[in-house]
Parts: sequence; C-alpha cells; structure tokens
Amino acid sequence: MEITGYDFRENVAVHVMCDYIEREHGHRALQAPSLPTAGHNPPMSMMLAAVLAGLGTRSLAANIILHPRYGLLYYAALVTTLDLEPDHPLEEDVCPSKPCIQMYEKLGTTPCLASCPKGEGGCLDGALDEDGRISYSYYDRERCTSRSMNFGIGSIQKALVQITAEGDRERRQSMIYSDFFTQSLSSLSYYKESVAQCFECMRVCPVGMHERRLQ
Amino acid sequence: MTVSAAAARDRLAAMVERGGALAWGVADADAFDEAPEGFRPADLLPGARRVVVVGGSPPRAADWASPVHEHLETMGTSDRINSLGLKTAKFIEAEFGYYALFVPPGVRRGNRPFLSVALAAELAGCGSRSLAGPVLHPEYGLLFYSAVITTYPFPLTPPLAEPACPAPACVDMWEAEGETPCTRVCPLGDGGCLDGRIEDGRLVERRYDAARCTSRVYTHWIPGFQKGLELVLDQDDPEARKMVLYSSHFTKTLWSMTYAAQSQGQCWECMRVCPVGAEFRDKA
Repeated sequence: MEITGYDFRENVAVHVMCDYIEREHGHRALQAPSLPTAGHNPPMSMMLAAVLAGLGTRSLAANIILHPRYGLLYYAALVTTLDLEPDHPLEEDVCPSKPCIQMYEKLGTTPCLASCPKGEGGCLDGALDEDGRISYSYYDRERCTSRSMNFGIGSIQKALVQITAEGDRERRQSMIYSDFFTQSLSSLSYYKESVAQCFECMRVCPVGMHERRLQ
Repeated sequence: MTVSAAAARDRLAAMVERGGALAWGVADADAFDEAPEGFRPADLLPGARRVVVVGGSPPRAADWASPVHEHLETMGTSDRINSLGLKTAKFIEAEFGYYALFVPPGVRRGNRPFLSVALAAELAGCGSRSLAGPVLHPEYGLLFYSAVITTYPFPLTPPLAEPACPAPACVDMWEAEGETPCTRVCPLGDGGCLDGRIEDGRLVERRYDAARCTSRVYTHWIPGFQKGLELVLDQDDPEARKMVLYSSHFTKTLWSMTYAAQSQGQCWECMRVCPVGAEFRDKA
C-alpha cells in the first residue's frame, strides 16, 4: 500500500474526456494541472474543484476530500469552454460522519484525530461544534509529508543531500545502492507517481468503510 | 447477487481478454512454497486464496524488426500489462466483493520483488521457465505478466503439463550441436549469461548469471542511474562531473526512469533467437 499508487488512472480518464469534448463538441478542454509548479501548491486545486463539483467535502483528516459513499478518492479535473450545467457543492458535510460525532461527544476525539493526534507527535487536531460540524481543524502538512511520502521525490532529494555530503567513497557507494535509495528511485519510475506511506487516518475513517471491507 | 466460481471465472476471462491479455490463469496462493517467507501471497494479503495472472504486451513485431537498437531498448511495453493488472484487481473487488491486491511491479527489500510474478505465471499455467530465463508462453513466447492476489476462490488453472522450453527445434539443435539458440547467443563460458543441459528433450539443468545479465539488460533505468551517480561523485573535477551528468548515457537513464517509467531491457538477444513465439515477432 505504501507504493501502489492509483492516482494516475483518473488522469487517464480526464485525458479521454478532454479528447471527447474537443472532438465531439468542438470546445476547448484542458487537462487541469495537478502537480506543483512552485512550492507545494499546484496551479489549480483539485480539492477545491472536487468540492465545488459536489463530489465531496473537506475532512478533519488532512483536509482530504471525502466522497459520501467511497470516502477517499483521487481526483483529476479538466477545464473546458463547453457550457456544461454545473453541479453544486454537497448540502451535507461528509465529515464528520455520525459515528465520529458520537465518538467526539463521548471521548472528545474522532477516529482520525485519535490515530494521529497533534499533541502526541501526530499531524491532526480538530473540534466539532454543538451541531456536530467541524468548528476547528488543524493539519501539520510538513510533518505529514515527511511521514506519508518517505519514498518519492522528497526522499530522493533527502538521500541526495546525504549522499553528496558523504566524503567516504565506500560509504557513499553503500548509500547509493541501499534498499532505501533503490526504492526511492523505484517510486519515481516504476510507480511513477507521488506515493504515500501512511494512510492511517483513512484506514480508521468510517466514511467508505463498507467499500473497504470485503470478503 | 451470488455467482458461482465458474461463472465468475468466465466474467473474469471476458474482462482480461477484452483488456488485452494474451494469456491468463489462476494459481493457488498456497502453492508458492519455493518463495521465501515474507514474499508469499498471504504475506501480502492475509487470507489470500488465489493469484490471478495476466500476460501480454510483448514488443510488437515491428519493435523487433527495427534496426535502431535504441528503439527496442526504450520502447517498454510492460507498463500496459500492469494497467491491466490494476484493472483486474478493481474488477474483482467491484464485481465479486472480495479482496484483490495488485502486486506492485517494483522491488521490495534487497532488490527482491514483492511476489515473484514469474513463479505466479508458472503456477497459473501461463508458461514455463526457459533456459533463457523468462517464463515462455507455449504459443506467444515472451510475455510480460502482472499478478493479482485475491481472496476469491476462482477455479485453478494447473501449471503446464508440457514445458514451453525447450522447443522441438532447440532439442534438435541440442542433439546436433550441444547448444540451443539462446545458450549460443549468450554463452556463460564465453562471457555470457546462459548455460544448461537437455536430456530426453527436457531441460534438466540451467545456469544463469543473473548479476551479469542485469548489468547488461539494465544499463539504463535505476541501476544505470545509481552507477552514473556513483561515477559523478567519484569525480573530483567539476568539469568531469558535468560531462558525466550531461552525457548521453545519464540523460537517457533519466528519460528511462521518468517518462518511460518502467523496467526496460537493453539486450533481448536470447529472446530474439528463441523459436517459441517466433511467428509473432515476424510480419510482412
């Protein structure tokens, strides 16, 4: 699960959709850029697009957009001049779900907050108001990134800093051919996407749980 | 709606064949005894019962025919079979409500794959191991494979009763000359990677220098990058470093790792001469 990323597949779907719009409808269609061009921010937020298109709402768990049925999904978007009728944001928040509200009322926390509490070295914090809606949400992105993406571009950069700073040839060689560096390079190539190595806040999330529990 | 295992198998067959599989099969998840502990199906998916294997996406006849050797070196097609593997996993979960785990195509610890897809392909009856190394399908020869571990009890497909290697032509050549096309093209005793012995038309011994083969087959891609990086950092002269970094070799390595994004081979010679599936590598 650490390395099996799926998030390129919906990019393929969007690519096909763009072709369809341009060919069949004669309107412009642009595959929305989802990778950062500077810093960590992409030129266009897929999360915001997903919320505005009514696919889900932001959650306490790292602001991940939760779909009401499936929970965690990966998103891709296209921008078009075709005058499609817009969908609307969901009227009901997906997060917190009912079991999370009940847990919060009893224990003052939710499954995701309990799995990664900011106060104990984790990444998440939050609060619900009297109506069971999110009143406060905190997400330590830097801490989360360092844990959830310990293979990938970030780990290659980190390893390169260490490798290039190592003066001893033998030690440098062992770092270059180490499992860690090899896997990091693999994540850049074979898996060819930003891969995550945590998932714990999503593992305990009740939204979409029935989709994850099979025989 | 509950479907019988046989009906489920038919639906799976229709899906993978529509998706481009030239071969597919189902192995028993408990049959991976020869795999080391930690690298068996149940280690990846608790409760694993079957391993579904799909094979296909070999280089096309035109790829084999191209006189530009860099073409076949970089024109990786194995990625497509991984897409089908992912799709198969999604299909099993969505259609039958059972867990289905796509085996990642890369390596885990110690340069070892998460699960030996070659072993899975053999156990699922897609092909048999060859003197040259790859699992050969009896009709198509070299195929790329992807595996999905599942808790769904699909009916099993047994391993091949008759191995695909050695082919009758290779047996004839062995009897006449004491070698086969693949061992001749890359002889272990002459700086190559392959050696073996055939008795009564059956492969009884196989010797394969995996390290030597890897150093030749993967001259670009991740091993090429690591080697290049080591070479760069060993240079004291900044100009020499710059020259290595901007060299054709290093540039091509970066291309192969990113754009092509898959394990690419740069040799293929043992497969080029293999008679199994030769008709599919030759077109008008």
